[in-house]
Order: sequence, then C-alpha cells, then structure tokens
Amino acid sequence: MSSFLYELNANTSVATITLNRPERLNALMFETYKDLRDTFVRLDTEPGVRAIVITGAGRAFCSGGDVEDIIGALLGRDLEALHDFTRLTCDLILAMRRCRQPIVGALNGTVAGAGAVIAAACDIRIAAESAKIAFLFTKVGLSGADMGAAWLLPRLVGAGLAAEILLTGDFVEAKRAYEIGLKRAPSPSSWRVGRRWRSA
Amino acid sequence: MTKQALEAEASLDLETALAYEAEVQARLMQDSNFREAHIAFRAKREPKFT
Repeated sequence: MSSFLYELNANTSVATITLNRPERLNALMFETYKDLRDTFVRLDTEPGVRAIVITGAGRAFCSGGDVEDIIGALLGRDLEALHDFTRLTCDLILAMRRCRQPIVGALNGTVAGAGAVIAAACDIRIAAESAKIAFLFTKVGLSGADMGAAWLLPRLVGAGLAAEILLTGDFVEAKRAYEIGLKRAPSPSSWRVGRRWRSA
Repeated sequence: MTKQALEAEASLDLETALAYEAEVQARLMQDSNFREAHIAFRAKREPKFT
C-alpha cells in the first residue's frame, strides 16, 4: 500500500484513505488500482468501520492513471493485457459501489481521469474550492466511457450534462460542479470532512 | 463511442455497463490516437487525432 495511506479512527469508526503520491498529483499506478479495490472489498465487512473517506495528499485529489507507469506502459500491450487492465479499473469502481459503508469523496485540487470516476463512484462528494473535475478520456484519444463513467455520471447530473462533460473532457470548476449537483456545498478546505463525518 | 456508451448504458445494470466499457476501452487503447496523445503530452503539444 505504498501509494495511499489507510487510517481507521476508532472513536469515529471512519476509515480514511489518503492517496499519497503528492509529487505526482496522486497519479495511480497499476498496484494502486488493485490495492484500492482490495481495500474496498475488505471494508465492506470490516468490523468497526461505519463510513469511509477518500481524499488526496497535497494539491490534488488524483490526476488519474500515471502518464508513464500506466499510459506509457499500456502502449504496445496486446488486447488481452489491455483488457486485464480495464477490467481491473472497473473492478475498483464495482468494489466501491458494492461496499456497504457510505463513501465520502473529499475532493481537493485536480480530480481527473480515473480520479474523476473514483469521485463519481463515491456516495457523497465534498469539494474544496480548489477542486476541478475532468473526465478527460476523450482528450487522450479514448472513449469518455471509462471505468463506468457513462453509467455513473448521467445518474448524478442527468443525461444532457453527462454527455457534455464526457464528450468534451473539459474541467468542471468547483462552483459549477456544485450548481449541477456533482458535489455538495463548497467547503473552504477538505480536511474538515473527517470531523463532519463523526456522526456518520 | 462515448455517445454510444451513454445510449447503451442507460438501460444496463452497473456490472454489465462496466464490462462493456472495459471491453471497448481496451480496444481503443490499441488505436493510434491513444499513442498520439501520449507522444503529444510528452512533447507538450496538442495531439493530432485522426
């Protein structure tokens, strides 16, 4: 679990996952998807856990798959190996949705690509004013439908806005994300979330 | 591809939608546009998609 921190507060029963590669804007590596998936599978039945917060260390929540570790490494792989990877990323989202504990996304700074879909798979999103969200898959030559984005997003913001957000891949700033219901009321900083969720 | 996914997935359950996206996206990762995006990013220029 080198790329994220895990902490369970025994008093609040809130487990906190902190993506922790701040120097790379918390870009995900292959093991991160797998470790996160396994963590959500485990937390589904973990005694003493009543809610989960996922957040990012430093100035980003998550900038998506690492440009070299993931994207560079995927180039040249055969279809079977690519499919293994996309299935793994989708398994992470499925584990988040199947997990019985509510998941709160405490979003800060850049929330992009896989990071945006992870945010969309949370039950509640609370964002710092710095948060900007982009489902940027079309900008890297892929379908906007990645990790279940084309299933999750229309159910959060409606079909029209979901189409716009996925087709363009453009960043949605915090203020607009709030207006369209993609996240909860603006919060000056995301670190207070743990405190708020003591009652969860 | 994005529009087709939005249309198709409106009436799918999550698990089926995820399987669909995993399959389509894996195929697109073999496409030259994905490689071009990576090259352009490293060269700090706009990608030229076909």
